[in-house]
Amino acid sequence: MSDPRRLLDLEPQGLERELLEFGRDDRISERSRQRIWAGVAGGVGAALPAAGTASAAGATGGAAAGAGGAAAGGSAAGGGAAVGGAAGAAAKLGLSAWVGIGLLSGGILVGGTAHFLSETAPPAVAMKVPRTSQSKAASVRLVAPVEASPATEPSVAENAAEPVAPAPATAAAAPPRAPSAALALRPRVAGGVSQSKEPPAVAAAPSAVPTPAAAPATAAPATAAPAASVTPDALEGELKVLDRARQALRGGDAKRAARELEEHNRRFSLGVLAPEAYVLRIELAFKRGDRAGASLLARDFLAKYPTSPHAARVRAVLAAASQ
Amino acid sequence: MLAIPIKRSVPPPPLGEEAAIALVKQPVSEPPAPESLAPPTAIDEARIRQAFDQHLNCVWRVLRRLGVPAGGVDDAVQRVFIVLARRIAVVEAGSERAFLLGTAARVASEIRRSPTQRREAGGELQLDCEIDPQPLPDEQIERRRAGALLDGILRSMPDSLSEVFVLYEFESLTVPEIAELLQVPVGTAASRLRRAREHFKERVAKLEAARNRQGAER
Repeated sequence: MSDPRRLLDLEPQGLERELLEFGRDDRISERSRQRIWAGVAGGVGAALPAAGTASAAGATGGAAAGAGGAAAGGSAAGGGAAVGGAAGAAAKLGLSAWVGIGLLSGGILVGGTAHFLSETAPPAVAMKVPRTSQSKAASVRLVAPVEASPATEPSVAENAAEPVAPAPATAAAAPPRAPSAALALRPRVAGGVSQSKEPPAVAAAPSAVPTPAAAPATAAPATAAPAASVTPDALEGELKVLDRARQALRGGDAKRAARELEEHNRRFSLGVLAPEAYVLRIELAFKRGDRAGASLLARDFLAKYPTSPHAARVRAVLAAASQ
Repeated sequence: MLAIPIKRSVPPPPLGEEAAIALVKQPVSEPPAPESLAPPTAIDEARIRQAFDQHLNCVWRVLRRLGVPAGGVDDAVQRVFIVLARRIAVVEAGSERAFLLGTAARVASEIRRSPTQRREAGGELQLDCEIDPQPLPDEQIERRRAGALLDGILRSMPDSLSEVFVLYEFESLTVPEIAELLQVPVGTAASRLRRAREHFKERVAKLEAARNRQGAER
C-alpha cells in the first residue's frame, strides 16, 4: 500500500495551506535551543559518573534564574552529580568550550555557573549546610508550569519573554555518587519544590541584589554549597558583555575584546562568570602575542580554579604560551 | 487517551522519568539511576549532539502540535533528549529520529494526561470555534492565529488521529514508519491518517466559511 500524497503536496489553498505550512515550518527559537541544550548536557551529567571535578564530596546546587525568560534557569543538586554532573557533563559534551562554540547566552549557565558557584562558595554559607543531609536530596524538577499558556497559544509567543518567578535552588550535602542532578529549565514554582530539607540556597529574583555576590575564590571546601545571589538582569547583562568579548576575540578584534573585558571588570568584577571572563582575558593576552602575560594569568587561573571546566583549555593555552 | 508504546527494541526510560513529566506540583521521586548504561563515549556524545542539531525542531514541533503548552515545551524537549542521551547506547545508529519522535509522542501523551493539562485541554476543545478567524493585519499576529487555529483543530481530534496526522503531514514520516513508531498495524495507521485528514479538512472548511461569512458582513 503506498502512502497518499501529503496534503501540502496537493497544493492546497487558503487557510488549509496556511495552517499546513505553519505546521511544517514552525521552529523553535534560538534562545530555547540554547537553553535546552544546556539542560540536556546537565541532565546527561546525572547519568555520568562523577568526573574529576566532583572531588568535592559535598553537594552543590547551582541556580540561575531566567531573566525575562532569557537566561537559563538551571538548578543542580546532588553531590558529585552536580559538580561532576552538570559541569563535568558540560565539559564532556563540549559545553566547557563555550568560549569557542558560542553557547554563552544560556548554554553556559548550567555547567559554568553551577561549577563556579560550587568552587567559590563562601565558607560561612557552606557551614549552613549540614554535612549529613539526606543523600537522596537531589531531585528532578521538571517544571511544567501550572500557569502555562494553553496549548493553543501560538508558538510565536514562545519567543516572547516569559514571566519570571524566583528560582528555587536546592542545596544538599550528598555523597558524590548521588545519582542525579536536578533540572529545571524554568523553575517557576517558588520554594520548597525539592525533597531537600535545605532552604533554597540561591534565590534569584528580579528584585534581588543588583550585583551578584561572589565569594573570594579561595574556598573549595568539601561541602561547598552555592551561595551567590544572582539577579537575572545582572546575569543577563554579564552574559551579554562576555558574549561580545568572545565574539570580538573570535573575530580577531583584540581591541574590542579588551574593551568588553574592561567593561566586564568594571561592572561585574564580582560576577558569577568571573572565571569565564578570566579565560577570555588569558586568550586575549595570548592572541596579542603576550606569552609571558598569558602564562602568568593562566597559572593564576589554574591556582584559583583548579577544577574549573575551563582548566583544560587554560592549560592548553599555557602549554602553547610556554613553547 | 492512548498510551503510546515505543519501539520494542528500545527499552523505555525508568518510570521515574515519566512521573517527573506528569507530576507538576508534587516533588518527584528520584528516577532510578540507569546503572545498566555505560557512560557515553565520545562517539555517543557526538551522536547526541548531532541528533540534537538535526532533530531538535521536529521534536519541538511534535510536542507543540501534540498538545504540550508553550510554557512547558522546552522542558518537554529537554526531557526527550535526555532520554535519548541515557539510551544512546541502545539506540541504533540511524534510528535516532524515530526514537526521538516516538519518545516525543509518548511524552506529549503523558503531559496531556496530567491533571493540570487535562483541565486546560478541556477548554481547548472549543478554541477553534472561539478564535476569530478573521485575519488580522500584523504578520506576527497572523502567525499566532495560524498556530492557534492549527492547534485548535488538532486538539479537537482524538489523540490517536492527531499523532498520525502530525507525524505524516508535518514530519514526513511514512505510514509504515508511523505504524512502527506507534506500534499499530500499518492498516490502522493508514486508517487513522485518513480520518485525521477528513477531520482536518472539515474543520478548515468550517473556519473558512466562518471567515467568509464575517468578511461578507463587514
